[in-house]
Amino acid sequence: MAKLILILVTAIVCLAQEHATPGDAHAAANGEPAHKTEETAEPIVWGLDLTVWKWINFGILMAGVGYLFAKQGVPFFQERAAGILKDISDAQKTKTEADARAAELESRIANLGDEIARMQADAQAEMQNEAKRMEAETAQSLAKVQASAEQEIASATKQAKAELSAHAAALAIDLAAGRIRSGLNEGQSRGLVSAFIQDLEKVKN
Amino acid sequence: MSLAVASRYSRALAEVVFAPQCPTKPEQVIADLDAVVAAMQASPELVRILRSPAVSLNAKRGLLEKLSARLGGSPVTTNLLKVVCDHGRITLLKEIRQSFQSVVDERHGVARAEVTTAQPMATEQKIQLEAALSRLSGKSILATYQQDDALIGGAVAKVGSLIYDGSVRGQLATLRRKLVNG
Repeated sequence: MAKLILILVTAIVCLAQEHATPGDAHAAANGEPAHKTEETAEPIVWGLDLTVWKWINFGILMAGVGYLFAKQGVPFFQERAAGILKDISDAQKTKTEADARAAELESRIANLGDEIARMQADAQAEMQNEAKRMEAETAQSLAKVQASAEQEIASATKQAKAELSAHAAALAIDLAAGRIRSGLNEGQSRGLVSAFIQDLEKVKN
Repeated sequence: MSLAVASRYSRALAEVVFAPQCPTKPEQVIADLDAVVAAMQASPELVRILRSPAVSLNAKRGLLEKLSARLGGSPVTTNLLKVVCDHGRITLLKEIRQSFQSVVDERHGVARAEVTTAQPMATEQKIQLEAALSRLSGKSILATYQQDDALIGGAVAKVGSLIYDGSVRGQLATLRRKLVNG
């Protein structure tokens, strides 16, 4: 962009030179003001015709512009052209991919019926497997619950038997204690103490 | 814990009391300690003062000295009270007394027996029982007797940590265990 601006500025400067009249050039050569020459309005012929100079001037301008264009403009436009080519190539590639995708989609849509049938079959098989698994799991849980219940019943039975046995023993002992107490006279009581003393005498220390 | 501490004090006291030059008899010290323990049980205020950190040690020692003098305590007992108070163990006095009793019994070769019967024992039986217990413990027996109707019949003798159970109640309890355990 900067290069283009430079070219334009150079062109404007060159074109601006064209506005200078031959009178201006003569006045400049004699050291007089330009407007004085215009007042006289007489053509001055000095050497070659002015047109030739114009052409020479134009030729120099064109040579400069051509040089600048060749140095700055050509690479710029080449770069620009390469970019455009790349964009075209990318667009082409994208289009090709989109076409391929569209083709694949169309193919899938065409096979949708088969796909649905396959999915249904899979789902059905999966459901059957799941049902079997759940059945097995339920049977396992049932067996566990049954075993646990049996164990609990056995434990409760054992505890009840123990409690009953303890209660029966307590009743029997209480009954025995009552009978012994009521039937024990002084002589028997002394006899028990004597027996205890005899037992102590038998104990080895 | 408290028993171990009490044991340390009682053994130290025994060393003092059983020294040949000590004029005080162990029985005297036990009697003194019984009196002090009884006084402390009768007066919670006294215990509170002796335990209070707000009361100086000198004041506590003075108080114990006066108390011992009033109860006719021996100098050995008074000194023990002061030492125990200085160490903040005055509440262990009862345990120290019991432990000292055990130490004294041990040194005298005496074992104390607690005999419980359902009916009062005849003197002859008591002699026989004490002889049997003496043979078992290897010490002379100092027995105390008490009655308990719950025994139904027979007797229970406790010597130290050993219990000889010859009561009907004990035999019924054994029978009950056998019945329950099958």
